Amino acid sequence: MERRNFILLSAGAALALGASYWYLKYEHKTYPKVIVEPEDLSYIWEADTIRNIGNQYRIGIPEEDNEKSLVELLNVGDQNKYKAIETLQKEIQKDFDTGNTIILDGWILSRTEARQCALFSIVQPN
Amino acid sequence: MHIDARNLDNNSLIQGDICIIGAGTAGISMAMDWIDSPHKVILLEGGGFEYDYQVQELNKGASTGQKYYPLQSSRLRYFGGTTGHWAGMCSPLDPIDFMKRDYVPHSGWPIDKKDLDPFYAKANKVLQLGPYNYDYDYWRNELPNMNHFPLDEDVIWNKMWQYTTAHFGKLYKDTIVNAKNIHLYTYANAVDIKTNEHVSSIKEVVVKNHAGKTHRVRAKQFIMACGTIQNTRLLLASNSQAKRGLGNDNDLVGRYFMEHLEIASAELWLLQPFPTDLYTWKYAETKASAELALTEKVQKEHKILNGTSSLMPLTLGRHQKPRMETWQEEDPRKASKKTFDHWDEAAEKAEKENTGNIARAFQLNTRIEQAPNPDSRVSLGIEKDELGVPRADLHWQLTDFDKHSIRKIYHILGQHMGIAGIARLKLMEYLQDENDHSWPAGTNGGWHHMGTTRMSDNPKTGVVNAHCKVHGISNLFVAGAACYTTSGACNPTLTLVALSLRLSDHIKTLF
Repeated sequence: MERRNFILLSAGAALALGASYWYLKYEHKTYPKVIVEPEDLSYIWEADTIRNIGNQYRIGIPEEDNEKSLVELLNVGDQNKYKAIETLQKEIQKDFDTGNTIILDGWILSRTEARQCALFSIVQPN
Repeated sequence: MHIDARNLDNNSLIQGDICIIGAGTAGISMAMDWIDSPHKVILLEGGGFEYDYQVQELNKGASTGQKYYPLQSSRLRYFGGTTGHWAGMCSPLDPIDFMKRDYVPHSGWPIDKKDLDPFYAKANKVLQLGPYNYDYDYWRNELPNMNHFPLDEDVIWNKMWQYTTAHFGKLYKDTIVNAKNIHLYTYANAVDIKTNEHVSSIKEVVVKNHAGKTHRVRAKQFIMACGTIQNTRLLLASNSQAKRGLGNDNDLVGRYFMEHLEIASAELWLLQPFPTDLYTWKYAETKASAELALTEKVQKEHKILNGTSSLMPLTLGRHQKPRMETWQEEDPRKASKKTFDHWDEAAEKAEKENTGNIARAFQLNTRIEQAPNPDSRVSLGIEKDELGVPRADLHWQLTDFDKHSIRKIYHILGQHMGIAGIARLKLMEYLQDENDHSWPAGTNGGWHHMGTTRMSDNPKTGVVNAHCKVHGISNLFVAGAACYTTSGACNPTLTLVALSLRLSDHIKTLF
């Protein structure tokens, strides 16, 4: 095989692999499902409240109003669910520590858990 | 010794060494401090030993500005004063309350907390409280189940309270009546204060009653202890020799009226059960409990007023109407009955709903100082009462600064509940929009009247000096919360007793 063809084929394969990774990750929602549920808030809220807060977040911040953006911002990669929960808990703690909070319907929330609510409202709209 | 002024011959002359006008918390505390002294103390009380509607009606007045309770039902006019229906909540002011704070206009007392500490200790005894110790660490060892929220102590601290059921009317009647040198005159309403020609000293006080009797009281020292609004009213109405009223050369008497803003502000939802009795209070049962308060450092950093937050089960909070709504009867007996009956109904409804997640939720109620405001004031109305004294007009006026401070307190609490990982906090609707400067219908006062004869060493900025003496008048003093330069966050009674006992000590040096 000529070197030029090999490079083209390799590039094509890489693109195909990247595309399928993206497809699997975002279109097939291969991220850990647990991240759509804000763990702490689930102790005090029903699903409707989480959804409602999530909707408010998406209205207030339209640039994050899609699953892909929210998953990227939650930034848990392809960790297993336990690791993902741990990562999010650390982020939530960091948010409160640094004042990275947002007020939605009067609730003072960490940015991370507000994004989880938003993601929840997308993937479980009803 | 007790004398009913209705039974004296008309135009009697009563004489003593000191004359205390008013037998409420301040007046009784002071009078008791003189028992068995060689000095004759005249203690004047407008009412008798029991509630008397005709006398109580003398407290009636008008109010404008922020909605307020009827003046007639916000104070009791009989022996023992408003301790006749108070809740008995006591806590001292904090050191920051006495300080000049550049972000709180008109703040700064001419005394500090250390000046009051010895008298706070005495006041604790007079009020039948526990030891003069308001440290959380002390009480956590004294009482069971006093677990505290794991919050950053540099930011949020547990401000301790103690509770009493002391009703001075019942508690101290015999002591006062049996004291040989204390001459208690009931049905002796002070209606005018007469001075010498130069208005530099008090000559006599004129008292009247509904029996049509008028008497005069002469003494070496006079102490006004009839409550913030009545003290103010009497000073302003005593205007036959000083046109603007006594002590009012600089138009300060009646200004800077302050209340404690007591208002539901947020919901606190605990993520997990948190067993503790630290933040709950039951009348006549709880010895001590705490409210959440911001540290001095944080108040200064954020330039906000001093306030605290207390916890009430959310189910109860949601069923309770604002006190400003339930306490609108002119008759204090009706007002209190209506309010207490409503609280009982609310408690019954709440009990049924207190299951599930909401059983871990609380309403956070703010108690906060009001920023000193010269336009929040008591003045004289046109109408006169049955004894011929102009009635009081109250114009209670709050500021944006007051609301900003409340909002900021809950932003900080909300953040720190998150840091601690124990709860989430939801602001009440009126606090959610930073541009909303309005006050909701549920804006309550604590029935705490303060500040209209404020303390300052400068006559241009205060009515009384550091010894509570009216500037420019050698023998006239004010006892009570009217002297407060700023109000602090906590209920005023403990401090006003301490301040009165300090004044008592000072007057002893004058003999």
